[in-house]
Amino acid sequence: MKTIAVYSSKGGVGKTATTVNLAFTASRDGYRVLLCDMDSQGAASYYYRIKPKKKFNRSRLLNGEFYDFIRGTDFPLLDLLPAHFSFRNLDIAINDERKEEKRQVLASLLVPLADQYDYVILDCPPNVTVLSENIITAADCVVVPVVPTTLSLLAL
Amino acid sequence: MSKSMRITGLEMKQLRKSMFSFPHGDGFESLLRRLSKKFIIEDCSHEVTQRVYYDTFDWRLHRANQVFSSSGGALHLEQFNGQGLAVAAGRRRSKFFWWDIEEGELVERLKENIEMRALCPIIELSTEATQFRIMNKDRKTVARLAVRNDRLGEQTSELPELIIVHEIRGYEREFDGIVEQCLKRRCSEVKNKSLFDRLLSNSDLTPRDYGAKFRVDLDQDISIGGAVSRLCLRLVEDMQKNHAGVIADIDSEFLHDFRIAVRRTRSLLSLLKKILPEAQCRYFQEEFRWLGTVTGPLRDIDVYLLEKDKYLNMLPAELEDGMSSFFEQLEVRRNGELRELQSHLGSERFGKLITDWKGFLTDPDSEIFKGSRAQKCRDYVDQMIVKRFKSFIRDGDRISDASADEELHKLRIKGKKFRYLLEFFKSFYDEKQMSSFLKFMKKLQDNLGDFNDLSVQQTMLGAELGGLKAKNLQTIRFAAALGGLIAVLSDRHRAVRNEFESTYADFTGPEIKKLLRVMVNGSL
Repeated sequence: MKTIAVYSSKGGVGKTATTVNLAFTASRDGYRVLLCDMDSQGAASYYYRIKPKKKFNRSRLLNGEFYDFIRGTDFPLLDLLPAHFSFRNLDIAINDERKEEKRQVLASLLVPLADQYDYVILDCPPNVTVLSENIITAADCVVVPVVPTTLSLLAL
Repeated sequence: MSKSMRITGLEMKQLRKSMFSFPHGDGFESLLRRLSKKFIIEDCSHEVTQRVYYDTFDWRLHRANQVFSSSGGALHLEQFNGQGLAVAAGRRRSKFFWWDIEEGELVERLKENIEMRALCPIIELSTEATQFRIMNKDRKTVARLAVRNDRLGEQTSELPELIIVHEIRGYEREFDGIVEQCLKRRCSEVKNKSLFDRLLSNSDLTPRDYGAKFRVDLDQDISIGGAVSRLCLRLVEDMQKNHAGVIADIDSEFLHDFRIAVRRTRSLLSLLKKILPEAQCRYFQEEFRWLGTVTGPLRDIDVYLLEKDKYLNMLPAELEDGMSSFFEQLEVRRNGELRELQSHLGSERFGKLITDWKGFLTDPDSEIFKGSRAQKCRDYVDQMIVKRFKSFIRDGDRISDASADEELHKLRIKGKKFRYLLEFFKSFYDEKQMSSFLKFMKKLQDNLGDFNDLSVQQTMLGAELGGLKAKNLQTIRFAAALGGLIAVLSDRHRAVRNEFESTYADFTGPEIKKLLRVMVNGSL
């Protein structure tokens, strides 16, 4: 399983557009894909018309109890873990972990998915927090969309 | 967040699929009307596809719970439940061998099951399928529904319409609701049955009706005549089942199985010749000997051709070319032998043999049911088993390192007859005990069989070598290859001979004698 994070600290550069299309293309090519919407805005979830189930929240995610909340999209082989409004404080919740494990939290949560999916694609919020560190640690590859403007390049 | 974060082993639920058989009528329309009150329904594709399913004559893929089919320029290997195993490019053909398909995972999976057998069409299917998306008010797909209308081969009538409901992960309630609506209509749920099983049960095929190990269940009280009749009728049935495949030359195993049935028949006639009516026994022994003889040459060539890669791999690369022309000549010879055999198996003599034989086995007034053949078979067989085992041991004990190869060949023939005797009448005895005994016997038989095969191969290749005249470089290369091969086979021949002593000792130990004694009620 490969984990791809689509990340930029700058908003509006096309992270979600990249994520949803990358995920769709991979599934269309026959790969089993899980798109994780890590941004509390839930844009990727909106694109795929998926709402989280009522009982889903940040705690269930961090306790590793999120598998039953993954939902299939309209497209075969493509599933999505929807965002939840409680994700806005994910970085604070992760910060409560012991220092040496803080950056490994997300990676540990994704390990059990290895037999189920060929790709996990993470749509990331535009910030620089311990969540971002987790995402980059968990990812095998980080895709950074860049709009060719000065400030976008600065964000790199 | 909890400090002791739990990462449980992933237990993601399998997505469900339910199938319902709708009789033709408006059952499905009524279902759609009901569902459209809660969902938005959109048909997203409609297609008509042709698919051909294949298996070997002895149902090897069915026995492995696999399905092979050709559709739309692709070859598919799947499990019974529809889960795909491998795909390869390939168009529909009248038959496939694994070596006809491009290399890849499909071939690797296929060849271990089918080996040298041909995959032939068993079902031709025409399917009209419509896919529907079942969506919620956000136009998010919450379930998928497929409607299939299948038609088999040339049949004009269709199978009952099949509705398949597919669950989408995370939308369990919606799936349950649709299934509930299906159950309320005039339909039956198709449970525990793969789509392929459904096609088979609507066809005139009987899966696995051929290919199981030879076994005829005989009553403990059956007479000798009754037992011979049942056993030989089963064997002639095997011959007839394989006859068409031999004539059409579908694959090498039709002839192999045909010859096994002939060999078993001859063996039974030989084992019981003292008690069978003399004149008829002599006549049928002669005719089946003829049948064994005329089927031999083609089988011998097939054995070499099947081993071609093995032989080529035994030789260094520089000698392989020389050997390849040998196999090309064999192919030419094979065509001639095949025509000869087709003529024999289509002859009056063959037809008369089968008719006379079946008449002898089934006519109530036949000599086979009279006189001493009316006695209880079990008692007679018990004595035969003891006698033949003792005779086998007597001959085997005489063999030493100094014994000629011919002695081992004779022992092999004796052992084969003994094994056939046990296999014919194994239903008289405890299954586990018999199975255990035959397992021990097989090891020894394999050793003797390998020894014989290596002897025959060396003799045949030696004869080829002896018949060569050094005309040109190609002949010299061929001679070198033959010489190389004979040397390798000779080494193996010696090694197998050296293994005989320990293998024989395993078979003739006290454990085996005790087992046999228990099996035949202490007569040993």
